[in-house]
Amino acid sequence: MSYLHIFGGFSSSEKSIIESLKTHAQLSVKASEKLQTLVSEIAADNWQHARDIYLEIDRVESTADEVHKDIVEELSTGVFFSGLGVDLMNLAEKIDGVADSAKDAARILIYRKINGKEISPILELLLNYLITLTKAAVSLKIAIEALKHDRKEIMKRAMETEQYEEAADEIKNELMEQVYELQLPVLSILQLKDFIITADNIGDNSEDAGDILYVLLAKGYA
Amino acid sequence: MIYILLLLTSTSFVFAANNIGMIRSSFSTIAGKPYWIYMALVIIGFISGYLLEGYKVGSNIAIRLVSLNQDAALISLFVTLSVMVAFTILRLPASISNVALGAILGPAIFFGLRISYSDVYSILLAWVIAPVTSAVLGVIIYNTYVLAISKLSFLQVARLNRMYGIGTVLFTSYSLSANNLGLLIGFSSGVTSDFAILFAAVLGSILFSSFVASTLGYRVAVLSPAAYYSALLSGSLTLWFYTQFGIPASLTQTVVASILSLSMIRKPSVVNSRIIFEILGSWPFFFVFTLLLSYAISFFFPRLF
Repeated sequence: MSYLHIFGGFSSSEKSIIESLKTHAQLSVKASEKLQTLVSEIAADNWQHARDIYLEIDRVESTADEVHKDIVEELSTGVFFSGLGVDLMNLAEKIDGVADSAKDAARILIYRKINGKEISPILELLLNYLITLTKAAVSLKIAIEALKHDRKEIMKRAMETEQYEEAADEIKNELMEQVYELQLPVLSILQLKDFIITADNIGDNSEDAGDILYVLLAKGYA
Repeated sequence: MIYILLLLTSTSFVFAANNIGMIRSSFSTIAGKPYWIYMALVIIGFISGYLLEGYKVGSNIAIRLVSLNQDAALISLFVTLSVMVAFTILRLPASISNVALGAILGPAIFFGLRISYSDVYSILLAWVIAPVTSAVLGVIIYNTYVLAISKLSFLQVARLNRMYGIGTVLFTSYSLSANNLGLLIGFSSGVTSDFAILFAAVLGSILFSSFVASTLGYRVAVLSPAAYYSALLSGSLTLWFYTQFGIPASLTQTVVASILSLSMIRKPSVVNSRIIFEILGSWPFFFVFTLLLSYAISFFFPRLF
């Protein structure tokens, strides 16, 4: 009786999509958080443990992909979110981008073994960078949770993602300067540079998702 | 009689293909899939509007406005059908009320039939006033709705927007059918032809309404779902109001006027003024053109048959 879904009162279709988005955002946050642990383990030269964490990130990202696929499927076949379906699909795409970026960044560090000593001069700043990026993803997650109850909270948290992304950008610039000053093999420098740039996409995707939330609010309430 | 029945059903078929396309454009633009559910709602609204209130406009035309004889009815229907077919092929929305009034008056004047000019003036006045009232009503409905949802959560708003869309699609098709399809009842000669009109209209909306579906949805203006629904609702409320007085009016005119007013109060305003003014200014053209055409055909009619 799926056709009854058009009479929203009789179904919880929109609610279920928002729940899926929430799960999707939670998975993205989880992937970002694990990236910090991965870097700490590499810095501590726990290579095997670092590989295990990478596999965990990979699993989390695959689950996020599944959730993403379900959301897109549901949005494209149902009569939900009148006029907002495409924006919600874009939102899901950006949330997925957060998890993807975490996995891609992790993969860069795993492809080639890097010594803990090589990372240690920049470890504090690097962790600070990853924490700031994760904060952007967390703000996004809270904003998505607020879709169910509070419009102002969505605005506040969407703005926060932007602020965290900007803060992460500043740290990134400082980090890049420090990386180029390190007396390391060229490959290690390139590897760290790639990692920093790829991890930056966590913040960029969170910010983009925040922008889509603004669009959703503008369209939904206007 | 068989010619009249044939022309009636064909006109009804083409009318539905043309005008339901306008409603269809609304849900194909702003709602999700599957379209057939919305199409079913349109058909339900269409049938109930015709059966419950269709007689109001039909009887006003047949009893008060003009007493058409068989020849005059034949010419009126032929001209109405031809113009509706032409505009449907051009994929432009055309109002059957604008087209039919001229087509009715042409042969009536030629054959010297009784015409209630006060009713004709009332209709023409209504056509001038209807877009203005619809435009104002659209802004009132929209602002009230936006105010009402401002305190709700996004999830609640999403659900409400969906219900608003469903209700609007239903009421718009109801109102369109009661007024415009009801107009054809004025030509009908009994229950059989009444049902033939309805059947042809349902068939036309299912088979060909996608033909003109894009014009209003994509080419007129960029509006939010709530604003678009408000435009449709105000247009159909205005049409329903005139139905109560048996006055045939144009849904296209009322909806477009409302879309225009809503586009103007919103920033940034994205509106295709050329198409809007073409649609709003089309009724004098339709009226005069069909009047002259049907008058000219009346002149040749006795030589043809």
